[in-house]
Amino acid sequence: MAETERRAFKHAVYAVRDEAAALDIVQDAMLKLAEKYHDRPPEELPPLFQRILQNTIRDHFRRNKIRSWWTPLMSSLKKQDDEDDYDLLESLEAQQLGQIANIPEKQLDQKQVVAEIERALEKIPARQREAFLLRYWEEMDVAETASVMGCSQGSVKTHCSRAVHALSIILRSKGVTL
Amino acid sequence: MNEFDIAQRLARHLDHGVAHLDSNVVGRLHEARFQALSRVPVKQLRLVTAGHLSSTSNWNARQHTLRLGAALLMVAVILMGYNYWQQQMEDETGQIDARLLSSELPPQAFTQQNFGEWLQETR
Repeated sequence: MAETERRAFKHAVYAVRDEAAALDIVQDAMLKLAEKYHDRPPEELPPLFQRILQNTIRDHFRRNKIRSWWTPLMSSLKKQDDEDDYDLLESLEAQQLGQIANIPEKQLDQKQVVAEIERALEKIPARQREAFLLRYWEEMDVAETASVMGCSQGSVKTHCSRAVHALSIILRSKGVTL
Repeated sequence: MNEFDIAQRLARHLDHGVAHLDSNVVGRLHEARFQALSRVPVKQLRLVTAGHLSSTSNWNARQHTLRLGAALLMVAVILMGYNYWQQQMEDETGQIDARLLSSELPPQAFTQQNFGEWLQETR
């Protein structure tokens, strides 16, 4: 559970970009799992926890949306991470050639690489990030990922493919070679 | 490098990030986990800490086995106690026999009714 909770925290941080809020989200998700699903067989718990976590993240955004409806000033700052699946890939592809040519070759250490990857993850659309993290980081299969995300397996494959493509372009533009 | 390889490499980097989380964050997460576990009924918690989350029927079977084990242990202790007591008695009888044989008085003297009074008077 210790490893899972750390990854869960990172999932939440990439989504909400706020460590304090991410900690609250993970805590809420753990409490929900413990209170409602403690009697489930152990093998069912990881995907269940992921589903609860993703729902808790969405609830966080819903609450923020309602709050920002009351405070128009806040709404302009928060709207960037809503679930609009804008085509980041197209804009990135359009920019990449020129950008890469201007970036000097730099040797980045592991810590810097991780920081760049985390920043890149925060930039890609929420659904792509969710699919990428569940499929490749949590090592769920396509069916499990689709079940947690509440979408089709085809959508998971598309989201994953676009996420990896977008991340590679962003990282290349920052001089990160994998 | 194909999509899967890139994804794998990215995931390994992310693992590195998780392994080097700030200690305050790790502490808060630890605290949150314990708070969540405190909401799990005690029966379930015992089984989780034992390594597996069993069904209720398994739990009952385990309880039954534990009770049977405890009863067998108690019987074994009682038998061992009885055996020890018996051995003590045998030793005591052997010692009395040895004293009787080595005594100057004949054995009949010990069986006489007034022997106890005589013994007290001589002391």
